[in-house]
Amino acid sequence: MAIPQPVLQDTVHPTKPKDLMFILDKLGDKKVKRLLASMGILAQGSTKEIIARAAYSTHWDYIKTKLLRDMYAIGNDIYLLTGFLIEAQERQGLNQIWQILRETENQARDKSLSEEDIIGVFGVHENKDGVTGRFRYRHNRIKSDLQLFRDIPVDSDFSIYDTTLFSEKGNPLICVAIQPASSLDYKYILEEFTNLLAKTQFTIRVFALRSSYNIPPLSRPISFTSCEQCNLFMHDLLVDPALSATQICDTPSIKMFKWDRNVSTLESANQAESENIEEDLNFHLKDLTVSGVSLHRAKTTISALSGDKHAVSLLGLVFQNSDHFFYTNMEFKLQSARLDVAIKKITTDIGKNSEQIVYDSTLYQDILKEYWNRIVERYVEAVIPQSSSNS
Amino acid sequence: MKLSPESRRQVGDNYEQIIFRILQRFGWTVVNTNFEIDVPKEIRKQEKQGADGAFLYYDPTVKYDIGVHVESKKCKNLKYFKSQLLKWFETIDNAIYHLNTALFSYGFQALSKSSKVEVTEGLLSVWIDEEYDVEEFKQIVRDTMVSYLDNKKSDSLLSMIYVVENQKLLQLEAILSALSEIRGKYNLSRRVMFEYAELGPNDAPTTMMLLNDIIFVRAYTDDQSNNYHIISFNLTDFSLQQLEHFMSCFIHITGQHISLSQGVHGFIWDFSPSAPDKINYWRAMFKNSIESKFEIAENLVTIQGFNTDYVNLSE
Repeated sequence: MAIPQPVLQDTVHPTKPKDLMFILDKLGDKKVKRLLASMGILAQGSTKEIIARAAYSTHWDYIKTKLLRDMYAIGNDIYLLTGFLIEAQERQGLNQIWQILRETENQARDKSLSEEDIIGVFGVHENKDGVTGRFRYRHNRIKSDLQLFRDIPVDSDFSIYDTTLFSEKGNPLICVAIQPASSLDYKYILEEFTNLLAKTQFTIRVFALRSSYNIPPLSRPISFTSCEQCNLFMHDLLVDPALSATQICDTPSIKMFKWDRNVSTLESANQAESENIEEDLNFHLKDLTVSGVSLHRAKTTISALSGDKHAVSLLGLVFQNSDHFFYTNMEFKLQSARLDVAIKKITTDIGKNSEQIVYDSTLYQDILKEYWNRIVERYVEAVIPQSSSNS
Repeated sequence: MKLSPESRRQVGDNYEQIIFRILQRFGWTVVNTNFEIDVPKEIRKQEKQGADGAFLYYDPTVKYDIGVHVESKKCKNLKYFKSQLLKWFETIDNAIYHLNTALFSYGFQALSKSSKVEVTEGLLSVWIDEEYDVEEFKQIVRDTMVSYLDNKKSDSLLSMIYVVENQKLLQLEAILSALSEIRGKYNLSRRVMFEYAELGPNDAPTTMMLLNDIIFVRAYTDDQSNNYHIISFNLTDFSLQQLEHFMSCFIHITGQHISLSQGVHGFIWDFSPSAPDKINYWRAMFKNSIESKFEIAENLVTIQGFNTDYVNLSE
């Protein structure tokens, strides 16, 4: 079965009219009008007025932004869809950037014992189109809703080229096109480049040009930039009929499931430490229909015990019936070849201040079983290859 | 979009009225219809040029009223459309210029409620009798626009000309019909506004908003309570299933599908006006999501067809 592809997207793109005006102005008179013609708008008049009207009055949805991005030759390669533009102060801007990147790489190499230890920019080389290279970091990533791996070195490819051919007016715009390993990497790379370029006399004006992109399989950690994205991902998990055959053992006293990747079904395991049972959830769940799911809380910790890495992630799922939301915290504990999933607790918004309802095993209603089965199955498939490649 | 030849003929007979009805129903102000514009002889061979319609709407982004010259045309097929389009652009261009130089005489100033009004837009509504390929239509429009721009000597006056055709007209009609049909069921008033942050409660959509492929409207209930429903309409090629995936990103709020004609899918969003926190949450989600609607939709297309061969867990 396939690893589900996370839906990732970078959310930064030029929507501010001032930014759009700046970028459009670079195109020059003829290209601005042609760009609008490609959107189905016959625009005439002074370029300044057209740009202002286009920037302020036109709703820049995805398709229009893509047309603008294409003008700067970003997005031709499906794996190089995300990028940003930097305004250089002179036509030799690209050479300056290349020199800086080379110096940075050399400094990193001086400090590193081997190539594998290099953190930052490496593998920089110049070709006829511009500069290409790779970027690696081992920083702790920013907290995301669902992320199991914090210490995996991830290399992102990038290429840099002068868009002088595309921007006809004023100082050239340098395009940095990147293939980030995850959407989170994009922010680090953007930050890294901004820091590097701070060493130059460039006026750094960075315009992120948004795009969606497909994540290559296997080597990419699952991460989401927002609950919204994770929700979409989760929803997709649930609607895939291919998973309906998955079974979960309906053992009354079980509160924790253990997943062994060599076993085809989920197995019951020892009962986890019991929570204080305060209320029977059965009453609240009797009319439950699953109409929405989202993450509402997540926490990831990594600990090392006996050399075995444990990545624990708390995943909050939300169920909804006609009147109330039910928040379910599930714990995913990833070990070298096993993922433990435990339902920690369920809370609801019934009553004031989110009354806590502790999970009771007798409350296995079919819909919840099926729901969790699918999530667990797909979740395991998604993370186990990461685990094995990293262990 | 498939219409039987008979239906196409029936709609085509009233082709002029369609665009007028749509614009009026969405809140644009009618300035005039079927009138004549005085055009100097040096520009036109005849002194008078017929104009199909003139409308006004308030554009909150520029903070004044925009006058729109609307021209409605009918043609047999794409070939004829292609042969006439350059000429039509020229006609609309002239009309915009002359309407703008005589705002008072044509009634724009009298009807404008803002301090300023400018006729800067043209809307060409085209009805094509025979079946046609929409993508080919769009390509003809793009190519002709570029050709027109290349041959134009000078253009000091700002103008934006848009072109709509059968499909878009019928889709917008379908939205209006749907709103009428569900009015009773959801206790809706006739008060409808497009859901954009820029728009005030009484503002009509701008031309660009009207021509978007996914339209969100706010339909107020008929009980003086200022409560409303959010209704979304999909005018893209995405299927209902893909759209449902897309809509699922609006968590906690469920949408009820509305069946519409012309391949348009609608969703009426179900949230209780008595739960303002949910509405605020939804609105926050919506604000972010509407920007990326196509992006999400594209991702969903990817999901629907993603390759399942590249991973074997047993490896």
